[in-house]
Amino acid sequence: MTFFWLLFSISLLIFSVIVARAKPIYTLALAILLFLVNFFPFVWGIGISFFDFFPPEMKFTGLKNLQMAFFDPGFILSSKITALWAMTVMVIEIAISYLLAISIYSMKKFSSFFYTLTLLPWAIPSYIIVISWTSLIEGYGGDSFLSHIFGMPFDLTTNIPAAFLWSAFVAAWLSIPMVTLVILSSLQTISPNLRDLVKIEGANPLEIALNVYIPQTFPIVFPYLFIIFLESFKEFATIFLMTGGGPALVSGFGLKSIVGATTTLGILMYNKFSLTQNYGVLGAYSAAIGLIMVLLAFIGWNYRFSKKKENLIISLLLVHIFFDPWGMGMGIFGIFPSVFYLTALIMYLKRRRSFKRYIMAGALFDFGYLILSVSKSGFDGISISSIIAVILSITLIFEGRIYISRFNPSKIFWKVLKIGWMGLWTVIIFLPVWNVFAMGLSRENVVPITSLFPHGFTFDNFVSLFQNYNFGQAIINSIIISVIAIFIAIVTIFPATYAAVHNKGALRIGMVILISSLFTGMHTLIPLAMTFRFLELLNSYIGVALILSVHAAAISYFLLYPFLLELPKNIEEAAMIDGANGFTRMLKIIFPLSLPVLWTIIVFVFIDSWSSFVIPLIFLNNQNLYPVSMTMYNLVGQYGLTYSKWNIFGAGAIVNIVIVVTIFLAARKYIISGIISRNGVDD
Amino acid sequence: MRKIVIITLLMALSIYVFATVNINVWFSWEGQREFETLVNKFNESQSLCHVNLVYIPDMTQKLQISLSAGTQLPDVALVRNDVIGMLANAKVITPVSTTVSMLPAFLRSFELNGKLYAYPYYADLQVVYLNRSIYSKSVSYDWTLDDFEKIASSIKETGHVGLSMNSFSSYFFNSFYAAFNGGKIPLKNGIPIVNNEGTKKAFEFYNDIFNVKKIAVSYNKSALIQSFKSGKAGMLIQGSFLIPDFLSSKLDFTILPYPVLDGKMIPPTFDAKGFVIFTDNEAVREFLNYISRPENEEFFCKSTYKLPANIIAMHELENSNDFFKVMDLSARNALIVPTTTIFNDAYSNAITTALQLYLTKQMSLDESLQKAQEYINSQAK
Repeated sequence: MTFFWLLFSISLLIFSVIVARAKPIYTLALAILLFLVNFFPFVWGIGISFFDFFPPEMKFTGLKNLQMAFFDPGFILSSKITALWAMTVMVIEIAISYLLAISIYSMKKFSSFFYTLTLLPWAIPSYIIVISWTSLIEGYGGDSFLSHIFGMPFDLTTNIPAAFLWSAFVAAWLSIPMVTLVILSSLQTISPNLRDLVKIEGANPLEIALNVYIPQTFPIVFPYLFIIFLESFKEFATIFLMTGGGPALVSGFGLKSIVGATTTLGILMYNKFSLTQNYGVLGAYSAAIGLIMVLLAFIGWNYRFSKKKENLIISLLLVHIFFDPWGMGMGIFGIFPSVFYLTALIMYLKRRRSFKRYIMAGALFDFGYLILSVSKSGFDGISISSIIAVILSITLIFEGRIYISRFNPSKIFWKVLKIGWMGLWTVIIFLPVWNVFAMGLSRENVVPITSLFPHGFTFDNFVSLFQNYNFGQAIINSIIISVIAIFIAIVTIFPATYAAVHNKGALRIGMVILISSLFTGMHTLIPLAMTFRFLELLNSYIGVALILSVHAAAISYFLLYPFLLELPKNIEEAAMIDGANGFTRMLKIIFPLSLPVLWTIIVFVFIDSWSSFVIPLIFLNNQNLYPVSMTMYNLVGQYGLTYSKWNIFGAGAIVNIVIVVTIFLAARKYIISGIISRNGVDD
Repeated sequence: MRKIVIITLLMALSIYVFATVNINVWFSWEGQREFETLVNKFNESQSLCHVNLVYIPDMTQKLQISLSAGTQLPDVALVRNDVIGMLANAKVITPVSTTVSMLPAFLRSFELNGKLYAYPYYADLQVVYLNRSIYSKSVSYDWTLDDFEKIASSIKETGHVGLSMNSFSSYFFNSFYAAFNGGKIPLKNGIPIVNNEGTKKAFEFYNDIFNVKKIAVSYNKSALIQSFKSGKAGMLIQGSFLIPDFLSSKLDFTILPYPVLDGKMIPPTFDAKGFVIFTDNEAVREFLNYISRPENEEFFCKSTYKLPANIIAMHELENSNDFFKVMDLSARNALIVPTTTIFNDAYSNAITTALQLYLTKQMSLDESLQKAQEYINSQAK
């Protein structure tokens, strides 16, 4: 405990220095939460990495654990797999989201219906839908509903491409609603005159999309995509439930770690947590992952500000300097693209537009190396520096050139194509949802595999759910936890973000939110539990709600900050002249104006709180406090090792979906106006 | 006078309230409703202690974090035997003693360094499920591995899957691992040995049934159980905890013990659960004595199809139901797997990977087992 308090004091000191000039009256509440829930566990993870820590015994070991973690070939391979997987998810999301957004945007009828439909997956907890997707994809060892449609088996246990691509698809499916919403809202900002002009010119839908919609929206959308890329680095639940980190790889069968084709860093940490009792080792792996995330966070942070283009060009160099010597990049070959990027930086600083040519040259080198290396060596050939450099380069050199299509079909063709595409996506959304309904309406305890219809139609599962599993109380508990989490989130994040807009010192809070949110994991729950035990916050609604509100802080901050930044300054200036102080202006003027984006945050926090099950599992010991997610978890038990009650689970999932979707639909108008109201990134 | 009476009553009530000892009990796995019934009966039968029952979906993870964070532990928890080492090393549990007659396997499951650390409560056994509507011939309990393969082949000839099993799971492989190594898991200084002749034979047996004769098909997760329930597979190797599920689905099935190899039954893994005590006091012991009574264990295990630790309860159930006879027979030949982290995690991960790479022909037999051994040895350091 002495070490705990020593580390607590040191981290409090560091944190205080970081946020000292951050307008405490506005940021204190958020700062306290961030410190307790994110920052201290982050420092704890790094602190214990210098020890062999078998609770309660500690022995100082210096850099031993860190050396083991940093140079573990399994860790390096897992990092590469994570980068490729995250990029795959991002590419799928961009492609599908743009297609959806442009299709909906250009609709004259039924656009509201498709708006709502597209957003539906967002409202469904991942642990429910992933189980459904797995049965549709894999079925009986690869013989499934989807395998019959595609004409090939999809055994996720042994088929590497199937496991990799399907897990990426399902992860993307869950996030596409948010990205589509962002693209849709940015499409709203395109001048109607421009749209009308291109139509008068006779441009077909493809030309309009490539010359107007995408170039106009890309600068606004891409920062969100990079945040998604970062979040994918921490992805755990989807992969864990679908593939468990497999299939096995020959090159992944190492001495320190066993890495499969989908063993991302989140899965690796989970495996380490199960395998070792030495929390010093966990801390070391956490520090190694953290170092990668800090660099990525630096890049992501700079995406928020297009003025900081030189920082993005420096990032191109940094990724090579960082990843190539570490064995995660191009090795010695990294010198070649780095020379191009360095030249580009010099050109940019001299205000020469030709810098883009050098970036393009470097990116081509990176891309070529990536393709050749992966073709030759499979997963071992992945270069993280190349992947990130290519993504950054696209952003930097994208200009939206004029594209004229030689392919000019009739309007009917485009209409049929749009109907076909929206029809297909409707099926893709409803298919796993219907599977869940079939599960919940079945008399038999089955996961639908060969039939999409209930096995013996019944509503008895709902009766059993409420009578035998205390589901009604679970719903009440979820509502209480979610409402408290929402209240805490708004009351802490709003004033802090307001202060950040008006005070550069308070801006550091945003950086702390971003970086520390990237470090959370299973091992950081331990210092959190210790802290909460001391504060007597264990086994309470408020304890769980506090943690969940902080988990939503990153996305909330990045939604609210640009919105507040774009508000006209003269509104506040007028109030200042009238004698209103900062607090009054925030509360009486800015807060009402921010309601659209606050509604979006409220829905985010609500869905996140409603779906969380790890936090209640660890922090609640009283069954009367269990939320819906815990009751659902109980029904499945240890997946594959206990008697899972799929039909009751399905009934619970249906009730869960209905509640969350109802709230979502009620708030839909506000969410959409909230995203539309923000005018994008600071220019 | 009235004031004195009221004050006296209030004091008596306070004494009653404060004198009632509260016992926090964490429970997991199957049988939650049955156990709740027992707890309610206990609470109603006396007034000196009150049991608060909490259902924990993932007991191992919960205990791991609670231990590491120093957060509140319950007074009593139902645990699987593989966590005994962790709890004993953390010095949160102390040795116990019991006078209840039970099978030696129960006692061995919860022993560490010769001391018993939990009150054994029940066990799940691995059994072979046989779909009688696909294969209706009778099979004796002393069937051999050859008989097993012949039956699977004849089921395959009818267009069904002979045997449905998770080919990569170490949990099921352990039995064949032990069987081909003379009936026990080969260990050297507590470290499992996998690159030996016995293990190679076990791997080759797997390759034979899955890839050569193709009388077995590998499924996992829900597909594994669904394949048997839907009538796709004629045989299934799984835990006895599925019996209530198959009965409620009105399947025509029976269960068989594992077949015999070289004169000995292939030992099924003995998945034992027992109660560990974190706070030792009279109330806790009274509660444990209550739920361990033969009639109460019989009540719990009858509908959940668990093998009770109490031997009187077990005999009662055997006499009424053949399934318990099979479970008893299996328990007498069961395999108690080591409870060390090296076995539960390092060996388990290594053998799962080795099986996958070997059975999918990505690695040779020798190479896969060599890599597995190197990994296990490295984790043991």
